[in-house]
Amino acid sequence: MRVSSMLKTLAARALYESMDNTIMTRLANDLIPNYDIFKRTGFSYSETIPKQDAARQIIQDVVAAGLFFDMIYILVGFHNNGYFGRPLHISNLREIFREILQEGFVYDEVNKIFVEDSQIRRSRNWGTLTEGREYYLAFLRLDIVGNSKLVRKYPEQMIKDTYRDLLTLVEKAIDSRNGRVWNWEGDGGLVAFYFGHKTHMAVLSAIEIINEVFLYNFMHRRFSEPLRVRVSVHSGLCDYTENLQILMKNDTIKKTIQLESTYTEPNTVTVSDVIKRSIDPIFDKFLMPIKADKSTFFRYSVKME
Amino acid sequence: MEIVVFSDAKYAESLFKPFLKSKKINLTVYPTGDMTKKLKTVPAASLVYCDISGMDETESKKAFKQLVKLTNMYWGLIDGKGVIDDVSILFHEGMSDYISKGVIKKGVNAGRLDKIVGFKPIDAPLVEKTEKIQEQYGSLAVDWDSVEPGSEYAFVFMFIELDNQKELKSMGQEICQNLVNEFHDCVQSIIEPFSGKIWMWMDFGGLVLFPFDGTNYSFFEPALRLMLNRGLFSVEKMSLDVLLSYRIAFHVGTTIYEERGHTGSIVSDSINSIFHLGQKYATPGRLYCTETIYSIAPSHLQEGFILDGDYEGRKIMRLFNPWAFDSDLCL
Repeated sequence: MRVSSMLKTLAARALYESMDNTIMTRLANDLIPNYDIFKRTGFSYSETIPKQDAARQIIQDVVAAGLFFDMIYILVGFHNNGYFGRPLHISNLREIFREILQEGFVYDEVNKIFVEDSQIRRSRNWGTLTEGREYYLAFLRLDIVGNSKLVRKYPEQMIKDTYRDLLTLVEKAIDSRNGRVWNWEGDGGLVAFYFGHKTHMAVLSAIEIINEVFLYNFMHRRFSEPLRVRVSVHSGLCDYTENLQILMKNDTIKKTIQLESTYTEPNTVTVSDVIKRSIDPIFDKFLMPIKADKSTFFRYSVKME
Repeated sequence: MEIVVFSDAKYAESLFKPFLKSKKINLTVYPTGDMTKKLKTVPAASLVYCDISGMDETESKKAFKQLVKLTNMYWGLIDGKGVIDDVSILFHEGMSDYISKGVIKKGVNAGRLDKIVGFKPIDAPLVEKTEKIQEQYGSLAVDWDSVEPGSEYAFVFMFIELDNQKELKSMGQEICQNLVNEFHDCVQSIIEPFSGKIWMWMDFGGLVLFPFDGTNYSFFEPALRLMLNRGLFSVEKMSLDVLLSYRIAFHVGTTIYEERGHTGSIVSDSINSIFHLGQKYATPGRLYCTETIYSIAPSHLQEGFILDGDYEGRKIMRLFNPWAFDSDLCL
């Protein structure tokens, strides 16, 4: 995340107006282990570092490490809960929040974190996931059935137009639920969910995609036959990286892909039992259990009676 | 339906005589030499046969090139000499029928025509549909800009109402009213992009109007979306933890138009009909339309409907249930 000068100034002021150097340094150490404020500022160990200098240096280093939001969450914790039993009022917190919102972020109430405002920006990591850090995410995998045959059968432009229709449909389903397309190959791809009730969002998106494809085939299809897709949903841990090749080797992602390719029929969503346990019971009626290879999955499908 | 045969053979007319039994068919035979000129006058949704039996390779290739371009009609080949090596590839190119030497000898039957049309339905020209509908309904409300209060127009009526009203009432007045208000807002958000307007709203549902130009069938989309996504709406748009169930019914009708809130004095047979259809005929969780509405839909949309019965002198079509389970309200 790019932190503006104004935000850095506000944050530095929050530090030196609210706490002494000891607390500031402890805060920095929580974020950056073995943080040495003297080495960073160039002061000798016998000198007293002016609070403003210490604050500015800490902010500079925290931003460089990509930990600015993490620091803000700690400050909010100090403000709300105190510091080791003592009240600690953090100044300028309201202004800091206002400035963060101006930068195009919104506050996710469920996870108590900032996430980029999807109306302004839609980066793969929501502007907040850090390279190399492990996160719990929900994944949705989608694939077009019989893509190779379709490509051989229909003109190139019709294929492009149809696949663009599908991407538009997928984006509409995931946008309002804060999903992000992590990989798109034209005939399918991978979507990630991190914020809010992520597993719930992933399943709702998957159901909407299947429903909308069904509707698309009635109202707008370009092929002489219905477009068919397979969708799967699974969740688990994932080390975030910008490197897509490394990302796709993650076990959770591989399991999601396997769920789609091995256990999912056309025009259905297959949901892992991990996901099923965490979604609204209203969907119990829509999800049929299926047993395969000693595992239980759940299937949502739409087809004519 | 027009059947046009380009053939120089004597069997051409007698071969297709069985087709004349099954439908209102008009059969015309022309010499193959007239094909280029006559093809320009053949109406859409016709069936064209070209007899390549007496053609050389150049002539048959030229004929084939013309036939492949006929995307708005059915076409077939008569191949009395069996010159085509790979017949199946021609079906991929759009051919609807192939008359081999054996078929010429054996003859065709009336059922063959049904199979040709059923294999790849081609819609009748929209102009014909519009003219028929305008004859029947008079002034159409083609868009909201052309509608003035106090005048009579034809609209597409969509009736929508929550099911299991007794159970909803038993939750208490405030909870029930809140649910109905949320349902109203949900319906509003779905119909609005398609120029739908909630025109009347009562205890558990109401009447939506869509502009109607005689050919536009876009109003099907919000209705299908309401049906397919009711689980999603129940979870995301309702504050109460209940799976919604509602009935939808469509009809084309005429009424004097007045702004919402000023409809109390309107008397319209069409409004009565749609309310009867929605409240007395429709069963919970299902979508229905009258035959007129159904006839506006293109063939691939019609595939989703089945004939449900008759009501008040009209055939009623029902949307297939899209899920394996029964759609009753779960409370």
